Amino acid sequence: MKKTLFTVSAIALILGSSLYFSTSTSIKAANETNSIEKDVYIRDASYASFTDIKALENAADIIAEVKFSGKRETKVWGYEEGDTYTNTLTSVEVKKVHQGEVSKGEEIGVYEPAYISENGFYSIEGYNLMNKKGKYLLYLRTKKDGNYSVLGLYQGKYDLNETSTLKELKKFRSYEDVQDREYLGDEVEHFNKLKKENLKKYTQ
Amino acid sequence: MNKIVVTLSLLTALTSISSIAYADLHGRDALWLGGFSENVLEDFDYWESSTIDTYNLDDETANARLVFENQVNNEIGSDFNFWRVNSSGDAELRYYANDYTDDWYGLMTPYKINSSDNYVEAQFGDQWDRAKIQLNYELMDNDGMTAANRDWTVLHETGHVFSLKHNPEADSVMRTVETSFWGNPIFFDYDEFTQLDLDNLDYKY
Repeated sequence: MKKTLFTVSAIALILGSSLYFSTSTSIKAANETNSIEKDVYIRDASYASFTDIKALENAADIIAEVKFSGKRETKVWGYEEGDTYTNTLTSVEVKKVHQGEVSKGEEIGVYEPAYISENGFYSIEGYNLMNKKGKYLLYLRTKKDGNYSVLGLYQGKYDLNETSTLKELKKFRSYEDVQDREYLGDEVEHFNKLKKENLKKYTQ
Repeated sequence: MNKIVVTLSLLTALTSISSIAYADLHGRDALWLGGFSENVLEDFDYWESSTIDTYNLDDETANARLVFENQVNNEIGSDFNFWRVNSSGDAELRYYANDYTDDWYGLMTPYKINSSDNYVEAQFGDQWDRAKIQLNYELMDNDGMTAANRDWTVLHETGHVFSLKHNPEADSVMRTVETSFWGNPIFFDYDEFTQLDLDNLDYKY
């Protein structure tokens, strides 16, 4: 009886602790460049969901393999008081062109629908920022200012170095826990389907 | 022949099961835990930027509010009321339209008041004090949205204000936009909530 009581209590304690960690909203400012303990805010948006790679290819102005150049800036668009929008303008070097009018070696600007601030990591539909390790296949729309936006948010960026299937995202404590994850949203099955098609076409 | 019948039956069953598995979201699964309190929504102050009128979205925002005041109130017995205010600072809900550079048609952002008395972005599990709807008119135009499609988009975003999550493949205002083989977005024309949406709103309020 005592053993049972002890076991049940221990399990309750462990479960309670993990629940606290997973719902904790504590924010810690990043003091070291490699340690980013920030809350994650993921916003739902109305966007087009691409059924397959063909739909992406048909809709994209540019399809290119790129590397992050290391240069990026957070863009705060101030339209009027109360109407601001923030994203990240990231510089990438074009490594290979599959479609559209950009050139190998060219450095282009890509608007990414996510940003990091002192308060947290903010993302539209689970999009995560490109990093220096990745080799990215991007589907892009041309913008009026000569830069590009990522087509379909998370659907327009694939790290060709990451070949494993993404698992459902379990609860996490901070951005630090997920910063290397390619996609942070709920549509994991959809993302994996598109990723698989892209890997098949562009890496084999 | 028997083998074919059995195989076809199994395939049909499996397809049905997979459809059910990725199926409509109901009740708690269709809603964020947080949101505005029902009291606030019964006396809900809103403000519209002049950009809503400039980019011809004023009918759509008005229609969305009417759906809540008429259809939703009649169907679920709620008492939601929208009141226009002259100052954005007095509004719990604010509407804007602009070219927001990224690839989305509409975005709802909730806010809460923090311990320093400032509005900060809220999580979907928090109690909200304010919300903002931003409508990306440039992309709407670029992708060929009709007025009916815009009606749906604005109603969809207003659904988020009432804590409704996406319901990707359901017969629901909260479903997501799909694309054709050619990559063209396929927009829907919902101008009021479906029974699923009403049931989900009824669950929360």
